[in-house]
Amino acid sequence: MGILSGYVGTGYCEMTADQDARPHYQPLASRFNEMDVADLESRVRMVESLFRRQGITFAVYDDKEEGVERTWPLDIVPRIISPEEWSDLEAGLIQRVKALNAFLDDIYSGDQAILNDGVIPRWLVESSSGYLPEAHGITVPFGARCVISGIDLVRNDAGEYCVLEDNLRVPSGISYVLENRVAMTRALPKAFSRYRVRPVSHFGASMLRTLQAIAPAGRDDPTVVVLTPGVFNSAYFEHAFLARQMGVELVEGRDLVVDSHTVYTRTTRGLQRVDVIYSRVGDQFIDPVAFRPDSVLGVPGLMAAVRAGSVSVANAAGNGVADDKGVYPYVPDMIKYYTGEDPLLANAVTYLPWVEEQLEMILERLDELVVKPVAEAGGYGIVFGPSAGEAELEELASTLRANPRGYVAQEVIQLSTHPTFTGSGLAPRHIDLRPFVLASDHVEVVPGGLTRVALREGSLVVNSSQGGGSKDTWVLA
Amino acid sequence: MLSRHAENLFWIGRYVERAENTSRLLDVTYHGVLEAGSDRSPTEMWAELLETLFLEEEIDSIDEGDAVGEFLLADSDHHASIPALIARARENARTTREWVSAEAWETLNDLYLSLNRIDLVEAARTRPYEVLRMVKSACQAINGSVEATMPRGEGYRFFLIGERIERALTTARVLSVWQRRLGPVGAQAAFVEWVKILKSVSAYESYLRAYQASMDGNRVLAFLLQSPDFPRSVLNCLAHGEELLNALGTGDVGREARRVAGLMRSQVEFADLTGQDLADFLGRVESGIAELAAEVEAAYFRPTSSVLMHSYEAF
Repeated sequence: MGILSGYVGTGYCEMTADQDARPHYQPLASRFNEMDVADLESRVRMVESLFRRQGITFAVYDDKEEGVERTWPLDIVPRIISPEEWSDLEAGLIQRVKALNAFLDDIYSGDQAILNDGVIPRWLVESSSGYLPEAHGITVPFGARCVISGIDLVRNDAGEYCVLEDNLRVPSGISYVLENRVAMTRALPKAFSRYRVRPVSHFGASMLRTLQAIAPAGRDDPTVVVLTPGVFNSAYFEHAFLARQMGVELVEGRDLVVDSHTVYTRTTRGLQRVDVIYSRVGDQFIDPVAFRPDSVLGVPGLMAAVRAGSVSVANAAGNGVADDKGVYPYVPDMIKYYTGEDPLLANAVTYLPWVEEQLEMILERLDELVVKPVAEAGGYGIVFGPSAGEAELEELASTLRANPRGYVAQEVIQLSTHPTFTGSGLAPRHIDLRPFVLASDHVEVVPGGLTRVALREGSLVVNSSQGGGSKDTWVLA
Repeated sequence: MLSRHAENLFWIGRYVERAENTSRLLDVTYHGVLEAGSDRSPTEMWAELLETLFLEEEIDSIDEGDAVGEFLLADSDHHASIPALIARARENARTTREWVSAEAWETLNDLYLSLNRIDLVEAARTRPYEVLRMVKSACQAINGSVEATMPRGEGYRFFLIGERIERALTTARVLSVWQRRLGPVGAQAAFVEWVKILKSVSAYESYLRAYQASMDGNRVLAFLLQSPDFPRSVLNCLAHGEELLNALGTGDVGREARRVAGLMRSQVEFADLTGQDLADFLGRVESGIAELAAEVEAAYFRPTSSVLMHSYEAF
C-alpha cells in the first residue's frame, strides 16, 4: 500500500488520470509509493532547515508596516512537464514576449502604428497608470524592453493552458526556481535520478549574457549591476541571489552617482562606470528627478543618462502599460498584428467594465466572477465573487461603476490540481506556473519555471504573499 | 568594492568581536561576583563592567544583583546587548551577502537563530555561563569560517580591520578602566585582580606560559599592551590592522588611515611604560584607536571624488 494508493485528484489532476499516474509521472509515483508519511515528513523538515539556515526567505506584509520574514515554502512533490507539452509552451511564450516587446517599442520609440491602425484603443493605452510619456523617444538595443519577464500560466479543468497575466516590470520568483531545484535533488535524490530533468542552473550565465547584449554600443566587456530598493524589499533575497549568480555587484540607489549623463558606482577605489542596470526598483521610484521627487530609492539623473544612451536599464521604464490588465485582453491582437501568426497560447476569458454591455453583465454575475485591479501584482486587491460577502460585492459594484477603467473581470478558472503534502498525506491542491523568459539579441525560456500551489484546501489563490507554496518544476529532456 | 559593502563588512567584524568580548567580560564579572577573596561589592563590579563597555549611562540601572547581566544578555532592544549586536551583524551580512561566504553567513545566521530560540531572560537567571560560552564559541566559529572560506580580498580585509580595531579598543579599555581604579601599577593589587584582567581578554594562560605564574602588575600591563604574539594585545591588533590597510593599496586613498595606524602601532610598540603617566598614555591609546576607526571610515566608506554632483538637466 503506497502513499498514493486510493489518491483521487479533483478537477484536472496533473499527476493522475482515472486514478493511474500519467505516463510521465509513473516513475515519481512509484518512488512515492515506496515512502510513508513519516519518511516524507523528515524530508520536508530537511528542506525547511536547509532554507532556514541559508536564509532563503521572503517577507509578507501584514496590516502593520513591518514585513514578516518567512522561510520559503517548498512542497515535497515536484511537478513534471513532458517534453512535448513544454515545447508547445515554450513556443507560445517566445511568441508572446516578442509581440509584447514589439508593442512597447512601437509605443515608446515607434510610430504607435498599432494605435493609429485602431487595433488597440489609444485612450486605453494613454490612460494606463503604467504608461510613461516621459519614456518616449528612448531607444533600446534589439527593442528589448521586457528583458526578463514572468508569464503566469494556468491550466483549466479541461487541461488547457492559458495566460492569466504578464509580469513585465519586476517579476520575482526565479531565485526560488533555482533554490527549489537544489533542495529537491537533496530531498528526493532517488526520484530525481529516475528522470532526465532539464537543468536550470545555467540561468545566471544566461541572464548575464542577455543583459550584456543590451549594453550601449562600443562598450566592450560591459559592467552589469543589479539595482535593489534595499534589504527591506520583500524580494531582497532574490536581488542578492541574482547578483551572486551573475557574479555582479548588487547596488542600491545611494551606491550610484550620475555625472555628465554617465552612471558610476561609489567604491573603495573611487568611481567605476556602469553600462547595464538590471533594476528591481519600480518605474516611479527609479529617478527622483524624472519621476517621484520623494523617492530615496532611485538615482537622480538616471533617466537622462538612459536617454543619452550611456547606460541601459532592464526592464525598460514604461513596461507597465503592456502588463496593465486592461491592455492584456488585446495581447492576442498584438501577436497577430506584429508577427502575423495566430497566438499559440490563449488568454483567459476577460470582460471589460468600460464597455457598457459588458459592465451590465459583470454586475449581474458579480458573485460568479473574479474582479482584478488592472495595475496591481502579487494577488493584491483581487475579489473572488463566489467567496465574497454581500456587502463586499455591493461596494465592488459601485467601485466598478465609478472607475470602470481600473478593473477587469474574468471567469473563475478551476485551476488544475496536483498531489501536495499536507502533513498527513497527499491531497489535491490548485497550482499555476510562472515561466521566465529572457529576451535581448535572442529569446529563451528557462525550462519550467515557478510552480505555485494554493496550500489551503480548495483555494485558488497561489501567490506566496497570500499563503501560497511552491513546487520544483521538472521539464523532462 | 562598493563603499557600502566595505562599511558593512567592517561593522560585521566589529559587532561580532564586540559580542564575543561582551560575553567574555560578562562571564568574568559573573564569576567575580561569586568568587570569595574579593573584598569588592557586586555593585562596584557591575559598574566597572558598564564602564568597560562604554555604558556609564546605565549605572543607575544596577538596582539589584543581575540587572546588568540580564539586559546585556537578554534585552534585544538595548543597543549594546549581545542579541542586538548579533542581529545588527546579521542584518549587515544580509545586505552584503555577495561578499560574505555562504559558510560564514550560515554560522552567523545560526547564532542569530539560536539567540532567538532561547529564552534569554530565563537563561540569564539560571544558566548564563552556558549561553555566554555558546556565544563566544559561535563568534569564534564565525571568525574561523571567514578565515577558512573568504578570499583574501577587500571584503575579507575590511572584516578583519573592523575586528582588530574593536579588539584593540576592548583591551585598551579594560586596562584603562582598571588602571583608573587601582591607580599606579603597584603591589597592593591582589593576585585575583590581575587574574581577572587577564581573563577579561582571554590572556590568563598565555600570560602564565610567558611569565611562569609570576603575577606582576607591570608585566600584565606590558603583556596586554605590547606582546607581539598574543592576538588580543593592543600591539598585535594594531600591527595586523596596519598590515591589512597596507594590503588595501598604498595610493592616495587611505593615506591618512595608514599614517594613524603606523603612528599608533609604533607609539605602543616602543613606549617605555615605566616612565609614563599611565593614565594619560592609556587615554591616548584609546583615543588613537578611535581616530584610526574614523580615518578608515572617511577614506573608504565616504569617498569624496573628483566627480561632483552637478545639477541635473530636466529629463
